[in-house]
Amino acid sequence: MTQSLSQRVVQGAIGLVVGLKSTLRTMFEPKITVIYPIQKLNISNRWHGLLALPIDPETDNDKCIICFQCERVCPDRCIHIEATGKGKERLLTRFDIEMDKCCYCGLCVEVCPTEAIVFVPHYEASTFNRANLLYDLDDLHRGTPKEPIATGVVKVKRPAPKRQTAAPREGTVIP
Amino acid sequence: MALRTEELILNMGPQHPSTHGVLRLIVTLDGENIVDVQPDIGYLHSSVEKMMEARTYLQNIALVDRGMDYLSAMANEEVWVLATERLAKIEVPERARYIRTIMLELQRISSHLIWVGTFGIDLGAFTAFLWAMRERERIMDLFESSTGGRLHHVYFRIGGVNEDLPEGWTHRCLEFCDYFMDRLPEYDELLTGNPIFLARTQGVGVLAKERAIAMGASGPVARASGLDYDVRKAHPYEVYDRMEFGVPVRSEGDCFARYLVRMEEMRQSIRIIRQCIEQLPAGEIRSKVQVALKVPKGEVYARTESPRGDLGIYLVADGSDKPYRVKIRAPAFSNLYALTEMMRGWKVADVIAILGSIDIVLSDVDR
Repeated sequence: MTQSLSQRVVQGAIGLVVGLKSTLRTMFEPKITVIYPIQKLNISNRWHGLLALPIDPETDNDKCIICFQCERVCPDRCIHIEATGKGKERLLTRFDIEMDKCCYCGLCVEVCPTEAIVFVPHYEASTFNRANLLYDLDDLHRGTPKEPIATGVVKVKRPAPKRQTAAPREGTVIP
Repeated sequence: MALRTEELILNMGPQHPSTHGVLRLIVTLDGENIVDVQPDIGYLHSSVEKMMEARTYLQNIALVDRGMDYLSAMANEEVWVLATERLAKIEVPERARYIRTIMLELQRISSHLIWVGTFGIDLGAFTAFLWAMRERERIMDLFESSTGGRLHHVYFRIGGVNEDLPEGWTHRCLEFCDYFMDRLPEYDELLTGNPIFLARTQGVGVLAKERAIAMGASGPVARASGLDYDVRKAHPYEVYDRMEFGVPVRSEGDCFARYLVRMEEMRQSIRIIRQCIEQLPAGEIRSKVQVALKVPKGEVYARTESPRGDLGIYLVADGSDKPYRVKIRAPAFSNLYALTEMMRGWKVADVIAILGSIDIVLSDVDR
């Protein structure tokens, strides 16, 4: 059975309309994607994000008691702790986390007896410089990424590129 | 006068978009027909078994998560904690065992969804991938709210699980079950009845039952060849012995049978999740186990049914806080070696269809 050209055109058009109908329907449905750097999705409370040593408002210092448990349990050995003094004068002099080694397993948070080291809901740790991934005591007290790249709305206004007048190529004749 | 023909050796990979990772296939061709296939592996070897000897039993949970099959991290954690608990004779609280079973079945669905999507892409059906990712996203959200990680969870602990399920999690999980059962018929419309999909998969890459056993294939690959074997039924662990579920078995042994087996497995997983949530008891989620656990001297073999098949760990302990030797029996590795059997005699265009149908993860093959 052969179809005439007009029949095939009609059938093709019907198929096109059926296809476009679902396109039209989804155009008016709510969007399920977000514009990432400006909008962000909510993350759960248990999110394994960046690590931090939050400041305790009572003592105005972190809660670390320098027990070295997190340093010992870390599978990637990315936590380095040093301390001076004895007894009550024990002072934390170094608490470095190499975030480029960290595998976000959360074992350090789990073993900490005083909840001194916690996860913070930040995840944009990417930087332009590898040295920026070494988080020292100050960075961990601050509890935010060192060099935030996606900071919400892009505010920086780029200078307009200078318009260059194209030099005429050699040999071309300008009328 | 007959034409003189020569065999051609075609090198596929290791960087090939359809080999699901860094797998190199050395395909010997006679015209368009496949004479022989040699899989060349080792490009993703990370020496997990040796690395495990330098870490404590607790730290190894974080390692097996990412060092082995990264699409089913929970299954890897399960086999490791199971081996350790059996050797150290640690009791797991009832609630933790149910939570583990729920997580394992969610992980099976998420892994199979990835497989359906990528298998569709291999055969030129792109929509299936987007739909599968949409469903998987809901599972990832469930994982994120209970474990804190989306892909690598580090959730299971020796003697239980890390944290209890958050408020309202079981309700959301049941919502997902309903949503997912509504969505599964869409896949049937999209793929099962698709003439192009059928032409590419039906009768292609047949693996006979005897050969499947001989090559050590397991999981959906073996079950599609008619081998009625599931570790969850044969050697029950966690609470699988109390669950009612079917093990889908097909006798055809072709790519389409492997597809059908996995689709049916997802339905059965939903059944298990619903039963688990119904029976979920209250109580402890973790028994007291010290951080630097010392496992007594001995040997143990633990096996589980990962989404890819029979995943086993042979653990030798010497009484210290670190394992003496660990051997991982990876299901994807054994399934990959049944590939040669499946491919012989087929056309070169079927290579990708057959390779896609066995669902390999190269991180699991090489370890």
